[in-house]
Amino acid sequence: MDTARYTELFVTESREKLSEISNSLLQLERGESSESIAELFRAVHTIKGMAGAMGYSAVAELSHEMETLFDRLRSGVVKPNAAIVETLFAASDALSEGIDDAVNNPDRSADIVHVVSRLREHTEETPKTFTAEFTVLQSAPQASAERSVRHVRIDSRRLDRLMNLIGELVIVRGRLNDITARIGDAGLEDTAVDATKLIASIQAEIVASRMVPVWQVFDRFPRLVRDTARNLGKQVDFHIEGKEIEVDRALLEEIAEPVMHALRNALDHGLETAEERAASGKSPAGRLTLSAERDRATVVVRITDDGRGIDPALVLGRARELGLVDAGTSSLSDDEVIRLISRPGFSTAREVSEISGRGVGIDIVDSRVRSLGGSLDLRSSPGQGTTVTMRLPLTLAIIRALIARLDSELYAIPLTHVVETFQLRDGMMTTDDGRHSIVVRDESVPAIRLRERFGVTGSCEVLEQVVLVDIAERRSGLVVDEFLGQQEIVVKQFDPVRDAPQYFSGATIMSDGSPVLILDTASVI
Amino acid sequence: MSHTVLVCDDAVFMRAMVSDILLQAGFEIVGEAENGSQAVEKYKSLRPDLVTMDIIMPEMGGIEAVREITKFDPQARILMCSAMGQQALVDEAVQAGAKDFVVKPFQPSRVLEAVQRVLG
Repeated sequence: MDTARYTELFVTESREKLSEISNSLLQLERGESSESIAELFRAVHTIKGMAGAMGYSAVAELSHEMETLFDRLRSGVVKPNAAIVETLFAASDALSEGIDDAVNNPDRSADIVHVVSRLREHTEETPKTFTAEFTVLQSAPQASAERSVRHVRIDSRRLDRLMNLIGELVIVRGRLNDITARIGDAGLEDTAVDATKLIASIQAEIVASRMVPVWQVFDRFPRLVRDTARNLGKQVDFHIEGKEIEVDRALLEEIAEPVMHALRNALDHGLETAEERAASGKSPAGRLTLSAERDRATVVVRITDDGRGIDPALVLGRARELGLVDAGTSSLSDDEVIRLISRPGFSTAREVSEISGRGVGIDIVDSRVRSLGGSLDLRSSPGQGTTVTMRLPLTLAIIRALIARLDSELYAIPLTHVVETFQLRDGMMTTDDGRHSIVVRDESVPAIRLRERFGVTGSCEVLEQVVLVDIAERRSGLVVDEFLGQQEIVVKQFDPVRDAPQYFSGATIMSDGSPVLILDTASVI
Repeated sequence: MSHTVLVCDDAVFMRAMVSDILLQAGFEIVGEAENGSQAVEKYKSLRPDLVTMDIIMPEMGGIEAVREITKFDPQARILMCSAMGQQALVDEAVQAGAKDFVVKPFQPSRVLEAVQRVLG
């Protein structure tokens, strides 16, 4: 039988099952046995059936062995204990690897002998003469059932192609609107308006069809948190909130890594050991929360811990050592602390641990989030904990941007961070030691003349315009020559010029076919 | 006229596989169910000529679904899809009213033979 076309279905569905297995094992470990064992049994049973059909014998064999042990646990002949749970975690890791190998490296035969023999040791705690009463599983409605809405599975590449096509269509729409404006025919204008509306609806539908709930990635984290906390000898009470929030599939895959880094950081640097916590009157288990929340066209992901927080004195000391602040500096503002710890290579960890503390913490998270068109914020109060906030666009492919002109060049400024725009009137801007600032409603904010930043010579002959942006709750004004309006742009990645300052996150094509650079607002500021 | 089939399995993968085998043999797939209670509900509304039924499913298992369906329609033609080593369950399903069974992993020819026996 030609099984090739089933591979994708197999991969998707077995990943879902692996995710369920991971969650159910964590429940089992917490002592919530009966329901989780029933789910575990069904999940490995499904994987076994699929693997059998695909001819993945190692996967089928391993899932069969796991199923046998779950069957014994279910019938109560074997009682769950820490050693069994540990073996099951190892087996589910091996199963996951086995699935990857079966699909991607069919020549490599997964080594399952060891884990199978561990499973059998537990299984054979049963008297050999025992015949399990095989009863049909019945269970109360479960979490996964709530999630199941009627779906049609579509090859994700097809959605990517559709998204690309709609991107091209958006460009053509722009061109159509330009031509229509030039010709000035009423009938043509009406048609162009209709076409524009329809294209917008199609685009919205396609964007929506690419949306997936964050649990598809967040479900990996409970296991990671458990293992990491274990390695560190810490206790943690981990919660996930807003699992059902939906974001673009491509974005979700991209945020997995920065979220993982932030969680590891929180576990390693943020949370204290049970003894330290007890000494400061806290509960022995640290609380760690990962939440997702929708805020207009952005998604806000927060990682909050109730650990020791960031000690500004420690940051200051390290900054002095590295020569990042003047020797005379005696205190740091919150913003300065954040800016310092986001610098590549900055770490106050006294020793490098396996988990983090190699100086690849916050700066990696920061640069990843920024490259996705988002922003990172970090708030900490010593002794109380730290919150890392990532604000991200809902989709990566199409964004709304402000088109601005500097001399004869156009630039796109993503609206994600734009608060407002206004005209720069005489006397609004003051300059001190080469640094500009503007007073906006009694608040002085730093201002950046993009002409100066990008080395555009000459001066602006009209009244300049200011874009007020807000990145991680810090406001700044970007000064440009003129605005040409707001529009949706299709983001095209590009390779930055070597050694040039990285002020741009990508490029887009305008309706007349000309390329325009997309400003990476955070790096300009 | 081609026979109508309701395919019941909690795995999309398995439903796709069974559906493909039957579609290629000229059957019409009128519905899919991902658990026993959906299977019962859909049987009542669709009245298919044939049901393929997985045994292990969430919410309501396949055997329970066979009982419910045959209670509603004693003439229902249900083919059980079992994994290896489930002989005891298959026997139970047959007692509950299932007409025949096939064992996973499926061989298309075996599936079709069994289907013919059930419909025969």
